[in-house]
Amino acid sequence: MIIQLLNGLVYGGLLVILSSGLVLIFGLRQVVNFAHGAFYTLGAYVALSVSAFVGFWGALAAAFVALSVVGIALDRFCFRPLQNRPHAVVLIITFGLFLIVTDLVQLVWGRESYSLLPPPDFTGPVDVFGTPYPVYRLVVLALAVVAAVALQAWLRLTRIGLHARAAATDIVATGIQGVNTDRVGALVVGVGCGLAGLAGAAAAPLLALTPSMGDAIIIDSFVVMVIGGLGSFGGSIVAAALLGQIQAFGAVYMPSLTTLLPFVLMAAVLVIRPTGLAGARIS
Amino acid sequence: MVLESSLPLPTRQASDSSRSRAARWLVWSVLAVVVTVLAPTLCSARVIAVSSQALMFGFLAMGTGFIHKHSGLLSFGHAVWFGLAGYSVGILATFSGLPIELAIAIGLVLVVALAALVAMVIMRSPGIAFSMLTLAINVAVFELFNRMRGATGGADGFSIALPETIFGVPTTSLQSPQTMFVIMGITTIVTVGALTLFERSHLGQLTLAIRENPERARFIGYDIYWPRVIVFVISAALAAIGGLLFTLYTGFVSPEVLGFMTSGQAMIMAMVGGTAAAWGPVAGALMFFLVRDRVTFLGDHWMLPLGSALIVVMAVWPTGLVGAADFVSRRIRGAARRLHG
Amino acid sequence: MNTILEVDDLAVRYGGVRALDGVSVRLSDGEIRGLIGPNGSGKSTFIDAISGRKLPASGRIRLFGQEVTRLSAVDRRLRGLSRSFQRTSIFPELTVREQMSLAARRFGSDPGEILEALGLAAHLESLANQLGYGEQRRLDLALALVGSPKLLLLDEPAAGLSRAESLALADMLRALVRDAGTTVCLVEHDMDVIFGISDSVTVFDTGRVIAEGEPKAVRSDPAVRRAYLGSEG
Repeated sequence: MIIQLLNGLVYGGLLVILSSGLVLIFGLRQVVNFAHGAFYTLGAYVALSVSAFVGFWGALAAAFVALSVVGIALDRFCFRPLQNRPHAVVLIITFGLFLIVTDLVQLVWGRESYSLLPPPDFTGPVDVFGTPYPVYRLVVLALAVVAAVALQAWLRLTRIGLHARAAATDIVATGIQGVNTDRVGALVVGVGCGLAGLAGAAAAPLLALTPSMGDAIIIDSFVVMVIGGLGSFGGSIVAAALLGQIQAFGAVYMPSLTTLLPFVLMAAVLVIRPTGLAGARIS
Repeated sequence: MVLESSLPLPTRQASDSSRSRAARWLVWSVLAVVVTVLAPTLCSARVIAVSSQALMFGFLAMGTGFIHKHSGLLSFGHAVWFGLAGYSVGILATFSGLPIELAIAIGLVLVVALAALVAMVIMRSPGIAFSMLTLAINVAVFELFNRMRGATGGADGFSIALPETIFGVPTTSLQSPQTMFVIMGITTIVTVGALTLFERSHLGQLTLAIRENPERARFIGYDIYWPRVIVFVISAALAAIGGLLFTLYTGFVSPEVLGFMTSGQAMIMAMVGGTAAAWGPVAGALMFFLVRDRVTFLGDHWMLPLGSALIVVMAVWPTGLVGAADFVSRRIRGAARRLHG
Repeated sequence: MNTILEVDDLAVRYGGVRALDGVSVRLSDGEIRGLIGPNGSGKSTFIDAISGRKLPASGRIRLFGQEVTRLSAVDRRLRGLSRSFQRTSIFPELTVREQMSLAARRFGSDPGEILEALGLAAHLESLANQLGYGEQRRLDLALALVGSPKLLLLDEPAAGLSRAESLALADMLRALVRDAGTTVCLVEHDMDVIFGISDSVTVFDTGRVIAEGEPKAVRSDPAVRRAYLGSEG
């Protein structure tokens, strides 16, 4: 029982990091980044390649930084020049980017699967209420909490966070107020994509690295984002926690149905609240 | 009577232009039929084989294009309906003992009914969620069939037991590229015509209006939920027809056809072809398959060029082949007018 | 005169903000009612709540003698309540003919007269997004007029129109009330339009009704002068 509960929390934690990035980008650019799952994968591979030189924690940071750079480029060369185009156009372009990044991962690292070891101090099991539990998983959970708190602190307490929240409400008006919205956009999309890289790197020791490792989890984070109400951090954290538990318990009690369970949850939420948990009620 | 008196001139204009439009359709349809019938003798067997497959996936692309045109939504999950049609007809034909014609009818009805149920849930949520939800559902359905051991063969798929004739056509000739190409060509032409008529219909106009401005549509007295559900169901039915024909043609069905990559490719075909006219996605599908057949040297690395091509098309020419044809015909008409004047 | 709209103790919230609070209004058959008040005073929210665009948090709306508080916008439209929008709301990629026919078909009516009256008959085959600004405003109004609504809510119909266009609009509204017996309720910043054509005026301030009555009386009401006319000169 306790094991499933913890597994659910860990998976939910990864979903929180991934979907926070999606929510962050969506809030500012009103676009769902379909390449987010590929960025997660890329983050894991970047961590794999640099961990031999800079160690695990360095690799984690490197994945965040590398994907932030990708995000800044994405904003500069895609979202910003296309901000007056229909959202569908930008959405399709991020899908094209998903294809490109997935293929690039295959070109660089090949199709065979790799594994990345957890940091040496966190390899063994730890005793949780009398049950041994892999300590690294708890590290992932802690990391998710830290990332979520840090993100909220950044948005609520810093000047640039204030600008980001203002721009998410009305980017034109914020620009008129003298805020450099290009810079805010680059930072927000950079951090959003960086979080995808961070999630990938953090998840790497938990599973095998393959070019398609991001497909399953990105689907779950899409579901989280929709259930949570698209633009809401709070809603998506609740949804991520719910979905994590459903996946963890489903994997044990009804393994053949785990892929469908998120949709049962989603259908239930959408029938009751079409705009998601945190969404406004439409008349 | 009243209408005529208050709108005399434009009404006549409209009937004139609709008559010339009908004439134009007739010319193009006859031309398309002639090309379809002659192509097997003019083109290489390989081009015909590739093209008939392209036209099957063309239905999937048409479904994806139709929902984009009539609701503005992007589906990343229409392969579900393509694949489910194959599975349901395949399972019924192989294990139920029903005559194939009945199996086909029941299979299609089942898929359309399921699509209606799904539409009733996801059409309640805002448009941006739609793309994510369709993709998510697609992955779930794929996983379901991929893991389902037993009669459907899991990831390996299964061969369908087909009788010797289907609707009176010998199965062997149905499965030959030459015959299938002609069948595909004719069904495609009929379907494109039907979709074009739909666009002119009241429901077609209403769905376009809802796409343009859902709030205004409500404030001229129209409920917007059911028309959107109907658009989804029609688009799923188009994909299902393609999946059915593909399954009969290959006599085999596997989870690969309902993977989300199939949906993604259909979306690319629809976008490259352009969704403003019903023929756009079909043209996109033909182009996609014929080009892919020429670039086999890429091996597994087709996603990189495909993704790049998609980005270039969307950034530079988002209206696709339909937009290009429109542009060219405007230029020609403009030049002709200048010559006359 | 019959009362066709009864609004009792209406409250509307946006998030935590109370946009309307304890608003009660009566409209009689065939009157032209002007709504005025400073920006953000709740006039547009009032129109949104009456038309079904925004559900109220509490209160009651009775339309033509029947409770409609929880009815959808579509149902209210079919019962004879129609509205225009402050930001022009049309179908950009449909022709004038297409969208007017679509609207008219819902009510089994003929759009010809409306198009003629609003000077749109010459633009039937134009896409709405090819029209000029004034024409788009008139198309918005034309869509609202289809089906001869009994109650018409107009949200700043004269915004952005030239002097001559505003006056023509006022004439048209007066003719509409005279000929079709339509009740009109309009939000408008142009005081000449509002005081020129309204039978009575309701004044909003910070989500409440602070005055109501004949234009002349309202104009000289000290509370109104303080809250509104005084502050804006």
